[in-house]
Amino acid sequence: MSCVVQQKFEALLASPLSLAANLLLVDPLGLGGIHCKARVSPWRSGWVKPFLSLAARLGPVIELASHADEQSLRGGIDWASSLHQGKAYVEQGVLARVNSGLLKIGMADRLNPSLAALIGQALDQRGFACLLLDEALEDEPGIPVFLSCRLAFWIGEINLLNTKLELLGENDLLDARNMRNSISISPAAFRVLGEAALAFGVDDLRAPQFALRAYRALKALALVMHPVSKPMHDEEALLGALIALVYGPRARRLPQPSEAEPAREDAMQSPQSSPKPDRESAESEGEPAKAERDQANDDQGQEGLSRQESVTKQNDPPAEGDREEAPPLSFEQVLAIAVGAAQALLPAGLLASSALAATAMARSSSSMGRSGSRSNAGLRGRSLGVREGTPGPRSRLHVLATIRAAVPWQRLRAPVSNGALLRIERSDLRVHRYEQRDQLTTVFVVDASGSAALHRLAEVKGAVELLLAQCYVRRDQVAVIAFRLDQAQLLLPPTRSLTRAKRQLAALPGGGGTPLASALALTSKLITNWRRQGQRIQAIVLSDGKANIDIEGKPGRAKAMHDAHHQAKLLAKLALTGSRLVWVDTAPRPSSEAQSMAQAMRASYMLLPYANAQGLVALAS
Amino acid sequence: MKHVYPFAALVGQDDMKQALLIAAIDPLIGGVLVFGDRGTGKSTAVRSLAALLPPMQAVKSCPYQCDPQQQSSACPYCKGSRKRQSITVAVPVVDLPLGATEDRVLGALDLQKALREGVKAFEPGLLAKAHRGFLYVDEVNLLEDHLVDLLLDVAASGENLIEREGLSLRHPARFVLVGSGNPEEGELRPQLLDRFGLSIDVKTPMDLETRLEVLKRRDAFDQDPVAFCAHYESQQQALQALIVKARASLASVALPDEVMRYIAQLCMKLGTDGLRGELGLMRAARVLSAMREHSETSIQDVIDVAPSVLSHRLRRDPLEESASASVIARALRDMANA
Repeated sequence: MSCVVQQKFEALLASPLSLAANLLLVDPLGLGGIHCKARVSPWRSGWVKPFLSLAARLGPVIELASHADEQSLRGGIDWASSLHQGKAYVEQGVLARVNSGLLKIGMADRLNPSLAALIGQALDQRGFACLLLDEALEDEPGIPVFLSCRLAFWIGEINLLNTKLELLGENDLLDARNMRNSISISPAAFRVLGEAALAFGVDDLRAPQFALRAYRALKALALVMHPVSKPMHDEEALLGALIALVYGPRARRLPQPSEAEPAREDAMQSPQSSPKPDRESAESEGEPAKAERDQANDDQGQEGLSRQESVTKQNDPPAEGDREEAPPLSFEQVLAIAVGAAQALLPAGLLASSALAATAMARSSSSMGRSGSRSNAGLRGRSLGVREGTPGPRSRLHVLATIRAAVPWQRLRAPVSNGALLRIERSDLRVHRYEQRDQLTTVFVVDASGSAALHRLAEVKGAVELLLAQCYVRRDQVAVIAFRLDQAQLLLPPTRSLTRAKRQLAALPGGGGTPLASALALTSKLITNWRRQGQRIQAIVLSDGKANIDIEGKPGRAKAMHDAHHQAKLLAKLALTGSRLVWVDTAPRPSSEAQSMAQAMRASYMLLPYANAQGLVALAS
Repeated sequence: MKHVYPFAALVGQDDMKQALLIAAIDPLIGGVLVFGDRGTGKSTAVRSLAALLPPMQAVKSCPYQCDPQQQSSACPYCKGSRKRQSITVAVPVVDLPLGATEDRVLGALDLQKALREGVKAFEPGLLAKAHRGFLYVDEVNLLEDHLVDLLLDVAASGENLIEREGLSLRHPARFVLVGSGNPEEGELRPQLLDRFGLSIDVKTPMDLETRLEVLKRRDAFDQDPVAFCAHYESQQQALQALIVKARASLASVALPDEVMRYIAQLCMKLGTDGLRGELGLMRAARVLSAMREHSETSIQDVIDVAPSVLSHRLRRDPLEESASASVIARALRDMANA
């Protein structure tokens, strides 16, 4: 019997999805919720449905309508019934109704930032939990960070595809919920969670707080499932699973095993305390885990840090007396095992995806100003209030404001015969006023190949910073795409922040081949994306047009030129539909390649052999 | 009532705490801007202010919580009613959500009354609620520009003037504006920066011990808020007493000529625009002296508040690498040596 429970618990530990779902049901208010980055798929609906139906048995579950507005969240006067009855009816908002329950938000990536702000603020009051289904594509802005950082668990397609959800019984979850508060946490566990956050590069102090609450919930679950005095699992295994779950997706680096650590780990594993899930999952996903470690080893940049870390470890007095039964493990041993277990649980390529975490912030920042559609004046955009006017195809009636305008006149106007409460005249009509954010994004596409690259890059950096300095007033954005060696890369996603631009452009290598075709391909893809988000784009390409790497990344001048021409023609379509393109020829003398390329993509052509920052800014403004 | 994390239990972030206390003692300081990383306790600190500040007297059922001691000229409620009862209320700390509409911030026609009684009445907005207290705007850099302008305008004039929907009235709205945000997500226009009295950069603590302390206290609070708050009660009381005392002695703190001269020299050296820098520095230094129970302001007081008063007022070359804090530190050092 206990063997079955044991297996069930181990399955729970090994599956981040199940762990997140069950823990959230144990402590919904403290953990905030799950941010699930996945598009509609059988996998997603396969787990969301049973999860929601179980959650519905434990508390209210409300689905946020995609057209929800501030009033439906916050509540307010119910106009329909108020007008009908002649009495004011106050309706409760979603945030009040979801009290202690779960709020499901589908298509959270399209959530209006002002609603997101409201939800974030409400989450701080610890009144409910959220399930955010974020369907943003790789290069689209996802949900605003101020919302996602208030949720404990971030899971996504990348690390969880095809994981099955195992939900525990309702009673177990409820028992654990009640027991949660009486669980004590050893000082060593505090330390492990605190130090692991640093080791994974998780700076936000909310993360360790979430990990701690999750730990408490998990221990409560363990006790409920197996109420015997001897715990069925070692603390390290539990901690490891939680570190992987909470810190993994937020990680900006992987902890480096210092030289001494493996030895210590071995020495320590000789007593029976070896964490089982670690070993099992290491076997099942042996390759990825190994790859992960190798990757961590490759990452030499963090060496200084890990050394520093090991120094602090030596200075720490070993934590004592916090475990009763097991042979006392020192704090650093627990940490090593837990971090090791966490790493084994993390899938390969995680850092690539959770570098996402680093850029997620970046990306979502641009989400603040997006209108979500092609410009369609008058009907969309951020609401700016109302104005007088008659509704029509170009303007929408603002019902509330219209009533509001009519109300003061009711006594004066002749009473209505047909029993209607209000008499509305033409002068009362109010329509929505939307802000049409005509936001210009300037994209620099920089040839970072060859000898002049460094100089050119420096000038582009200068131009970006100068432009951003002006952007205070103009509210424009700047992005940089650079190409060298065998590929093009989005160096700086559209941003308005000087701070960020400086940081991201600080180290920009130059030299190598000229993959012009991939650069142009990337440019048209990104421009199309950004335009879909309602931005106006202009692109400034700086290159001599002498491509020598083809679109597949292979050298060869002829094919490379051919590919580049093809891509340039594709870009021409964008130029024809409203994006301004400029080609700055950086060759010492006008080059025929650059001229024909500019012609193919319908860009205006300039010769600027010594492209300087001021010149570029003049071009852009 | 829900328990709020006590101000006294916040770990570290001394600059931020000091700035908030200065603003609490002298609301005329003109707002606090807290810029920095996420999860550094910005919101926690501001929201904990309500419990820390000494409760105040207000006119009963006045929607603007007017001070019964002062004959308020602007308040439409107090002007009208003869008999004014006094009640004790907590200092309001109002959260302004990012997506707030102008209606909600400024106030609007009270539809309920209009519909039911046919009366044209004003429904006070968040600005009215924040009168004599704090108005907290998280992510102020993401707030719509016209709303920020409006907030700063009201904060500066101390009155909210309403001319809309057939309503025409003014009501008092004196509050300390506290803004927070993350500079990586967009910067504030310099004109707006300049209107905040104090500006603080907060950073995530990166040393383990501090972080662990944060974790432990937060956990203890979550487990048993009542006991946790009780544990910090004496410290909260002490802080509250400090605020009350400093407020009382503020007017009597002297400002010697040499300190005044030092302030002027420092601002000239840093090339701050206008005189807001000098005035703010003077005011903040005086509050700090009052907090330290000095009878006159010393140069040390000025040095201690200078970074938070001046860092956002420097005429900054956008391409300049060095942070403004270090520029100020350098200027202070130069002045010490000279």
